[in-house]
Amino acid sequence: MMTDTPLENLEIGDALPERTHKVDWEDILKFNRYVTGGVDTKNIHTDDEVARKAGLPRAVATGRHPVSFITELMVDHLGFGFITGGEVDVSFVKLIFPGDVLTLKAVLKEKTPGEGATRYLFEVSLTNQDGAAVTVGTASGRLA
Amino acid sequence: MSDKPDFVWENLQVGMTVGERSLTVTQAMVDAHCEALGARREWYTGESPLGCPIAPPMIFINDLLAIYDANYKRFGTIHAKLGYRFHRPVRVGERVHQKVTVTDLYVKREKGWIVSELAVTDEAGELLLTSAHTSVLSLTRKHADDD
Repeated sequence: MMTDTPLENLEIGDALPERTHKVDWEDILKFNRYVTGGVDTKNIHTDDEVARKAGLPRAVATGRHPVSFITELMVDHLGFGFITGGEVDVSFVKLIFPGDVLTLKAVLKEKTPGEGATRYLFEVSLTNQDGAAVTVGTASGRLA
Repeated sequence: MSDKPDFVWENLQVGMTVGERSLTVTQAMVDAHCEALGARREWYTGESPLGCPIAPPMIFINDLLAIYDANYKRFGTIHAKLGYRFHRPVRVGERVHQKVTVTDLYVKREKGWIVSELAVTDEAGELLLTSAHTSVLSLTRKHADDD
């Protein structure tokens, strides 16, 4: 069940509200400029020909950028309890292409009470517009 | 012509330090990160629970590769897995130390794989963040040319 319920009331199997992120060319170029210190470069993320030479069908988005979609979702729900003691582990299972629309899902898998705080562990996934998972994993943090 | 070694299997060993560096996390760095990744939150520009701006958790998203690039000729990296442990937030203006080590090297399905770890500490040596990156690694320079 997808819910806006406060985390304390979530049951195992409940999902946080889904979010969608479109990964367009401008996002990819912006991220590339960021990691190169403001320089436009040709690589597998920005140039179809370079990508094809590397054996890819065309330019692909970096898998790292969408991980921040997951961490920001966790900060929204776990706040400081994610930034201090949070964890995220993901596998990149399918390529992300420019124009893909990714849906971020987070389903509560474990709720572990501890000293003064409960750890919430979510199964997280990003699926593309065809329903195929591109990134899967877990994210967790503590809530006092 | 760069005299840096190629980023290939034969030039890397488990346990080796790839590189280290220290830097100050500035508001300009945080702003550029937020702009590029679309991460917007008052904590990153103004008041946070620490009473000052803090960096987004993914502020060091490219630093492991940047340290590789400072020490190796790299031909592009395909990531398979990524893991982060956030120990405590980084304050804007804080000086941090970064160290990248190789934690595993293995061959699977005729491909080379490398697991690298970025550890970020504060000036007192307190651990702020660790991240583990698993990526494809060319076995030889010949393979790298083929990539």
